Amino acid sequence: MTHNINDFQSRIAWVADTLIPSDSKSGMPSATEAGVPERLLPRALKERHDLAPSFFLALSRLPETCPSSPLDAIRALGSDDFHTISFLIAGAYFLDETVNRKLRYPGQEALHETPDYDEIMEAIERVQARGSVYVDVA
Amino acid sequence: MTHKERTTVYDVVIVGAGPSGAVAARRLAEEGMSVICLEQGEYPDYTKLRHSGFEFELTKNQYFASNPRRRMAPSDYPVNVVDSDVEPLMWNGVGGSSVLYAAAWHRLKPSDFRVRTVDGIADDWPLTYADLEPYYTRVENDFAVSGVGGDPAYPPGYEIPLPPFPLTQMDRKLAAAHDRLGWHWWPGSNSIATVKHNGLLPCVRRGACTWGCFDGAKASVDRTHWPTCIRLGVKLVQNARVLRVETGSDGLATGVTYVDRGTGRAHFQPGRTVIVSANGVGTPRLLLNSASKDHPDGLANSSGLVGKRLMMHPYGTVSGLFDDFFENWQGPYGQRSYSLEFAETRKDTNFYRGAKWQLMGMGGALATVGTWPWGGNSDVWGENFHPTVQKRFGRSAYWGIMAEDLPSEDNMVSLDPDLTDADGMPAAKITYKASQNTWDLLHYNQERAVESMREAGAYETAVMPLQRETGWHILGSVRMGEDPRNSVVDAFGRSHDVPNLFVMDGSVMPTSGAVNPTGTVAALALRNSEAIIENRRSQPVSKAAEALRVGS
Ligand SMILES: Cc1cc2nc3c(=O)[nH]c(=O)nc-3n(C[C@H](O)[C@H](O)[C@H](O)COP(=O)(O)OP(=O)(O)OC[C@H]3O[C@@H](n4cnc5c(N)ncnc54)[C@H](O)[C@@H]3O)c2cc1C
Ligand code: SF4
Repeated sequence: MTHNINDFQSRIAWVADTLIPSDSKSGMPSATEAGVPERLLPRALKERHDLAPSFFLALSRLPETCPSSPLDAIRALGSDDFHTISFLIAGAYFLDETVNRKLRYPGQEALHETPDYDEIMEAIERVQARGSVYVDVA
Repeated sequence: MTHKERTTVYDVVIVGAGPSGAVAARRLAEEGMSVICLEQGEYPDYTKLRHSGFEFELTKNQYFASNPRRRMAPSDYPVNVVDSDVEPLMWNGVGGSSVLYAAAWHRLKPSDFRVRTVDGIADDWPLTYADLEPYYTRVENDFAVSGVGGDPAYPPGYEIPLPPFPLTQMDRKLAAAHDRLGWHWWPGSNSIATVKHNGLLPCVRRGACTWGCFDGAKASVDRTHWPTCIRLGVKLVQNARVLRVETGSDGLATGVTYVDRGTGRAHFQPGRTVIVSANGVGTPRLLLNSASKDHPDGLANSSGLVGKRLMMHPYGTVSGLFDDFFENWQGPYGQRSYSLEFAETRKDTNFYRGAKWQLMGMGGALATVGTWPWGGNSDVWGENFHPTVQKRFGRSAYWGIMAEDLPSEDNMVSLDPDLTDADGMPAAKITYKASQNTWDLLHYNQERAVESMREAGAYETAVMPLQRETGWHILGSVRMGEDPRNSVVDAFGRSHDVPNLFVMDGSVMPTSGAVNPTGTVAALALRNSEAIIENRRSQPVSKAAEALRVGS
C-alpha cells in the first residue's frame, strides 16, 4: 500500500520536534526549523523506500495532534516502530547542509593526505624501545 | 531433479568465492589445473552505495547490511540465532565477506599455534607460526596490506608491503597514553591500498569500508583475485547454491550437486577434487547436508566434530568522550591503530589467553544517535538529542575489544530441523554461549581500556560488555588436527575421511587467536593449495569422476 506524506504532515510535525527539539545552548534548530517535514523527510523516504511502509504504518497508530506526553506516546509503539520513526527523522535531519555545517561535519569527503613518516617513526620507536610483546614459543 | 547434461569434469570444484576460495582458485589455475567455482551469490553492485553524500549513513545498512538476517538478499540463507549470544555476519556473493570486511589485517602470534603447550588448555595446531610465515608474507602482498612493519608484538621479520595511513588526532592521543602507561600500541595494518597496487586505487578515506568500498581501495577478492582467476581460465558460476558434496561407492568425492538459483534447476558438477570454502557456518552446513547412507552423520564426520567448536571472537567496546574536537569520522573504518598488550595469557589474571584492541572510526553525525558503539540509543531523544550529538560528534573514540574465543563442543553449527532456504536446503542453526573465561577476559580488558581512554584524556567512558551483532569471524567448526578421531581435516585442509575433499576457510582453525582472521584464512588457503599442487600426481580420485572424465 502506498501512502501520501501530505496526509501525515500534522503527525510528522509533532513527532519530529518531539524527537529533535531546538537547543538554544548549541544554537541547533529543531527538526521542523531544519525543514524535516516538507523538504528533508521526503528525500529520506525516497532513499529508504524499504522502510517507508512501516514508517507510515507506525505514524498512523499515533494521534493526529500532539498528546500530553509525546515522547512516551512514540515509545509506546514498541521498539521496532520507535526505531524506524526515530532513525528516519534523525536521518532526514542530518541530510541538511546547514545542520552539518553547524556541527563542522563536511561529510565523508575524499582525502589525499601524505603521512608524516618522521612522526610515525618517532611514535613506533618509543614502542619498540619497550621491548617485545609476545610469548616466545621457539 | 538432476539435469542430465554432459558437463565438463574439472580438476577442482570450489564451493564459495570469498577469500579462501579465491586464493585457492588463483593458485591452482596458475599451475594449469582446471578450476570451477560455484558461488551462491553474484558480484556486489557498488553503485548501490551512496558513499559520498550526506545520504551515506542513512543508506549504508540497506543493500550492504552485514547481518544476513536483516539484509535478507536472495543469495542469503536463513540462520537461526535464537540460541546464540552472538549473530554471525557475512556477505554471500562473489568476494564473500571481504566485500564487507573492515580489512583490519593480522597474523596470529606464535603462541596462538601452541595454546595447549603454552597454557595447558585447548589445542595446539598441527602447524606453527614458522610454517605459515612465508605464506603470510605472500598473501600480504596480494591483499595490499598497508601499515608499519617491525611491530614488537610479533617475532622479527614481519614487514608490511604498503606505506601506512597518516596518524590522526585519535591515534596520537592513544599512542601518547600508551607511552605513559608503558603499554603496546601500533599503527593499524589494513588490507587497504594506500598507493596503487594489484588493481586497487589509493584509499580516499571516506570510511565506507564495512559497507562496501566504492572507491576501489579495499582488498576484497572480487577486485584483487577474481579478475586474475577469470583471465587464468577459472570458471566462476554465480547464483549456484551447492546443496551436497557427492561421493562414489569408493568413498571419494565425485563432485557437487547445486541449484541454479535463476532457473531453480539442480545440476551435478563433477570434479576430481572438491574444495569447500563456504565459511565457518556455510561449510559445516554443506557437509552435514551431504549425509548419505554411507555417511549418515554428514560427510567427513567420523569424528563427530563437523559443526562443533564454533568460535566467533566475542566483541565489546569501550568508548571515551573528549573535550577537544577532532576528525573522528574519517576513514578508513578499518583499524587506525591497535594494541596487543593484553593478547596472551598473563600471570595476574583469572582467565586464559587475551584480547586484541582496535581503534576504529566513529562514523558521521547520524552514528552519534545510533546504537553502535554506544550499546543502545533509547535515551538520546527529546531534550537529550542535541547535548548527545554535541558530546559525541568529533569528540569521541572507541576501542573495540576482540576476545580470543576458546573452543567448546557445546558451541556449534547444526542443521535446523524445520527452517529451510528458498531452495529447500536446511538453514543453519547456531548454538553459542560465551564462556566464563570469555566474560572474565572481556571484563578485565574493558577495565584496562577504560584506563587507556582516561589516560588519553577522556572525561567520560562507556563500556558495552558483549555486542550481539558482531559475529564477523566465524571459526573452528571443521577443526584441523593430526588425529582423525578428534579432528575433521589434516594440517593441509584435507578431510581424514574423504581424501579428495578439502576445507580451506576459517572453520579449520583449532583455536581462534585474538586477532582478525582473514590473513590466516588466506595464508592457509595458499599453503593448502600448494600442497594439492605438490601432491597432484598421487591424489586419489574417485573412479566415478574419472569415468565421467573419459566420457566427457
Ligand atoms: C562486516 C564484517 C567485517 C569484517 N572485518 C574483518 C576485518 O577487519 N579483518 C579480518 O581479518 N576479517 C574481517 N571479517 C571476516 C572476513 O570477511 C572473513 O574472514 C573472510 O571473508 C573469510 O573468507 P572465506 O572465504 O573463508 O569465507 P567468506 O568470505 O564468508 O566466503 C564464503 C563464500 O561461500 C559462499 N557459499 C556459502 N555456502 C555456499 C553454498 N552452499 N553454495 C555456494 N556458495 C556458498 C558464500 O556465498 C560466500 O561468498 C569481517 C567480516 C564481516 C562480515
Ligand atoms: S576508507 Fe578507503 S578502503 Fe574504506 S571505503 Fe573509503 S576508499 Fe575504501
